[in-house]
This record gives sequence, C-alpha cells and structure tokens, in this order.
Amino acid sequence: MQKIITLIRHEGYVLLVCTLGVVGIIEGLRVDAKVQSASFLSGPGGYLTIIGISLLLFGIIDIIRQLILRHTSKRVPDVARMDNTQGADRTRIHLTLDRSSMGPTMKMQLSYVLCVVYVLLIRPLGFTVATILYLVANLWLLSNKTKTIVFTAIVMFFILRFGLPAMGLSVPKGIFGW
Amino acid sequence: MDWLVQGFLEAMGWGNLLVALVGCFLGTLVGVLPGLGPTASVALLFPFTAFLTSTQVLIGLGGIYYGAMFGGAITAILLNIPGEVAAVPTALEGYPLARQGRGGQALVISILSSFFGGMVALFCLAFFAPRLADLALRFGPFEYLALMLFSLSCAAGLGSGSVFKGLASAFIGLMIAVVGVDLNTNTYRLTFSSNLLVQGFDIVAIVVGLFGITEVLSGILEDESMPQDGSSKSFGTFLPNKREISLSAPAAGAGAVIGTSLGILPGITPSVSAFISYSLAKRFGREKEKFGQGAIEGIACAEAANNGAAMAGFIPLMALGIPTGPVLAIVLAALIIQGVVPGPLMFTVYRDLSGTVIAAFFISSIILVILNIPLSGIWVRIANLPYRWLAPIILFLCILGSLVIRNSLFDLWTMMLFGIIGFVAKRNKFPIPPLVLGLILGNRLETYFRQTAILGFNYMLTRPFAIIVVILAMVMILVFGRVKKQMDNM
Repeated sequence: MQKIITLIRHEGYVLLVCTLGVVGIIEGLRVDAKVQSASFLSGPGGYLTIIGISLLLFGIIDIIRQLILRHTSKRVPDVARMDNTQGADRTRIHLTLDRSSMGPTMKMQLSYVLCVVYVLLIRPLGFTVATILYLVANLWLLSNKTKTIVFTAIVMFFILRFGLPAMGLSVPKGIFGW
Repeated sequence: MDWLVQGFLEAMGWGNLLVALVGCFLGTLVGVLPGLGPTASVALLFPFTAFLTSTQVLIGLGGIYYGAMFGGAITAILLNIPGEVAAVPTALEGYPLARQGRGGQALVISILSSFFGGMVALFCLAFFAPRLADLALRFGPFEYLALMLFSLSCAAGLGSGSVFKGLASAFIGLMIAVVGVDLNTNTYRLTFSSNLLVQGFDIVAIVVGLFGITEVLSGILEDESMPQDGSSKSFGTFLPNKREISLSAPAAGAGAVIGTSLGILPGITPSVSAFISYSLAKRFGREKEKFGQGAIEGIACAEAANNGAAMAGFIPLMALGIPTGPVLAIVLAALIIQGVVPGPLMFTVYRDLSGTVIAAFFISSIILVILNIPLSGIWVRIANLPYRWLAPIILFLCILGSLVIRNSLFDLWTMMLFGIIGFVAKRNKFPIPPLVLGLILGNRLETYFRQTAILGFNYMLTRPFAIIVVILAMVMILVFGRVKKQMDNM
C-alpha cells in the first residue's frame, strides 16, 4: 500500500497527463458532434482531440519508460530517496503555533493558507484592510521582529490608502469604503 | 534605416526614457532579491505594464529583463548568490575575485561584457530581423504551424525532467489555452457549464501563479537551509588594469558571438549559452589554470553570452512572433494583451514601434551601465534583506498584480491554483516553462492548424521550408532526449 502511495505521489503526473488526455478526447468529440465543420480536423473539436490523444500518448510512453527503467536499473530509485528526505522533513510538522518550533514546510504551508484567507477577505473587508491583516499575520508567522512588522504595516497602509489611487489602480473597497 | 533613426528620436522622448529607467531599476531591484530570477521578475512586474502603450510595454519589459540579469550578476560576484542559473559561471569566477578584494573590477568587467554582448545582439536585431521578417512575409499557415511545432519541441527541452514530461507540459499549456469560447464557431470548450470559464483563464494570473507564487513558496521552504556564506566582500578599485582588459576583450567577443548565435534558437535559454561559452573559455582561455580561482575571462565570456542570448531572443520574437523561452513568452503575452501580435508586420505595419524599441534597448543598456556601478552597494544591501520579510511582500505583489488587470477575484483563485500546481510540479521535477510557451502560443497554433486542415495537410508536402522545420522539430526532440538522458546519468 505504502509503495502504491509513494508511486502515486511521485509518478502522479502521469495519471494527471493521461486524465487530461482522456478529458481532451471526450470534450473534443463532444464539441465535434455539436458543430458542423468542413472536416474533423478543421473544426473546434478536432484540434482538442489531437491534443488529448497526444497527452494520452505522452502519458503511456512515460509509463512504459518508467517500467523499463525500474526493471533495468539496480540503483535505489530516486523516488525512494526523495521519499526518505521528505519523510524526515514531515516529522518536523507540529500542530502548534510556536513559531520557533515550526519547520520550513509548515511555514510554507501556512503562508499559502494565509494567502487563501487573504483572497477570501478581500471582498468583505476591502483590499487595504485585508492586505494589512495578511502582512501582519504572515510576517509574524515567518518570525519577523514586532518592530519590523509594525513598521511594515504602517508604511504599507499609506502606500495602499494613498499610493494606489494616486497611481490610478482600482482595488476592491470594503466595509470602511476604502 | 530611416525607421531606426526615427526610432531613436521617439525613444528619446521623456515618457519612453522614464519607462526604460524605471524598468531597468525595478528589474535590477527584483533581480538582486534572493530566489527571483529574470522569469519570476518579469512575471511579477508585467501585470503593471497593462497601463502602458505597446511601445512602452516592450521597453519596460526589456529593461526589467536585462535589469534582472544584471542584478543576478551583481549578487553572484559580491555575495556568491547567483540570482539565476545564468549567473552561476559569474559566481564561480567573480566571488573568488571579490574575496581577493577585486570585486569592483570583476563587477565592471561583468557589466561591460554584458553591455558588449547586448550590443552585438542588438546590431543583429536591427539588421537581420527585418530581413527575416521580409522572408516571413512569404510564409503561410504551413510554415507558421511548422515553426510553432519547432518552438514547442525545443521548449520540451527547457527545465528539468525528461523530454516527454516537457512535451506533456507544452500540450497541457495548449489545452489550457483552449478553455473558453471558440470565436470561429461560438462553441464552448472545456467550460464544464461554468460561466466563469467562458472567457478562458487570464494569462497574467497563470504566469504570476506559476512563477511568482511558486518561487516564493520554494523560497520559504529553502530559506532556512540556504548557506549563509555570502557575506559582502570589498569592492576594491573599480578600474580594471590593462592585463584584465586584454584578457576580457577577446573572451567577451567570443561570448557575444556564441550567445547571439545560440540565443536565436528556441529552447536555448541565456543560461545554456552562458554555460557553453564558459566551458569553451575554460578549455581555450589564455589563463586556463586560473578558472575556479577567479578568472576574469570566465566572467567576461559568460556575461557577454548571457546578455547576447537574452537580446538575440528578440530576433525570432519580433520577426516571426516565436518566443525562444519563458521570459519572451511573457513579453509576447503582454504584447498580445496590447493588441500587437509580433511577426513580420513588426517591420512593415509596426515599423515605427520596432525602431523605437530597438533604440530603447540600446538606451536601456547604457542606463544599466550607468545605474549599476554606482548603485552596487545599495543592491548588495537589498540582496541581504531576509527572505522572511521579503516573502509576504512578494506574495502581496503577486496578488495585487493579478487583481489590477481585470479586478476579478476569479483571476486571484486562478493564480492561487496555478501557484500550487507550479510548486508541486517544481518539487516533482515537472517542467513549467514549456507549459507557459504552450499556453501563450496556443491560440495562434490552433488557428494555423485549422487553416492547414482546411487547405489540406497533403499540401504541406509542397512547402519545403515547412517540411524542413518539422523534421528539425523531430530532431530537436531526439537531441534533447539524448542530452537529458546523459545529464540524468551524470
């Protein structure tokens, strides 16, 4: 089971490529059936089908190539080595908000989550407020000093509040009207 | 040559000069930041060019591109941190020189060699691109289809992973470009009944996600494990001595010729040119024994090749509309957004624009020389800024850049999605540059494909140029396949 999970994680792109290929073929044929064109290839579906078939072919060729490599090579597969190193990194993940004990992987993941929250907050709070909140949170998460965080937030507030309108850039306004 | 003279007069206008100056400054500023190479720099800053005219877009992005490359060389020499792969040979020779207290001379040689490499390529751009464009005026859909297939096959060689991964990446890019309404038949494709997908994905959001977000996430992950030996070394004197000049001049000349020749070919990025040129200098240089301990020849040839290749990439871009790498693909996207499609018409209908752009590139190169020597100290201080502070600021810029184009939250989600896709792809050595090339060439490739299908693919056999290019495309796939196999075994 572990082997299958490892294989999916590292060779998963082949599955993705094959899936996209199948989607392309199905969608291409669907579109072609709806539209009358001079020939299959000159229509809107033919080109998409060709892309789908190509993707499927690349995927299958890569699967065969991987299988041949696995059979001929006696070396320790890169997959296994990568898994070991990443496994070591995973052990550093803790469900705690103690910044000093967080590993870089955890910080990276939380930074991405903060970005997602930031995008969610842009409409209700407005771009300026959401940005300041995001910057403070992410700067804190990445272990910046409090003085640096406060200074950055103040400077960014003035840039966002007065700089962006002066540059003619329009951004969503929120509950405060800015 | 009137158009070129007219171009110089136009480029000297205050607006264009200001764009060139700001582009060079911002490019160098972003280029010196750790972890951000020219592609990420251009991707990060190009949304903000949407408010400029098409001429200013080319001037600004050109300035950002060269500025980012110059920035990479500065940190490579003074901090041993190559901002991009192309600056690795410069770091190998420049940092030992900086440790010997000759950082200033290494910097000046690097800047002047870059300038020289850029000038040689610019000369070729001004004199050969119009001839290539004249030739391209006789091209039909067959030739363009063949050229685009050639470009995609070369793109498959870009980045890490096998050539099949590269091809798959390029075709995924083509598939993403299909999403939305087919304007010829008004048919919805790959929209899955969602109104959000009717207009297709925004190229800006995808590019910013794939390069900006991916680079920052990777940067956060690697920051703590980054070696901290890059302490700033003394500049010493800035003036190179006679011996250094006599060693550097022929090396820079050779580098410029190699870089310009290779830079025209799709798939040969400036970094490849820099490495090839550096290897040749190491083998045939006058002071071979000094390589690795601070050989000024190594810096001169690598930097000239690097900048020569970067500038030479504009020849096929402007004359044929074919980008040779991801940075030029982004430049192409920016021009398409402006309603200008590079190709043979650049030297007929848009001749004034081309003249202005070539002149502005020349001016940008001079600006970079003037700007970078006195500002080196400031760039070094900026390069030392901690990544823990820079990362949130860059993420904010990515979000702002994607938002200001259409003020659409869907674009932000697109950017976030492609950011995580790019990150996962990078961790698993799946190449992203071919995807961007496929995405940007997608619509035009489809147009030429369908035109060829209407005329009949068998008619292609009567077009020798198209056949030769298609054969070359297949040869390139075989060559890249073999080269990558050898690199994997190394």
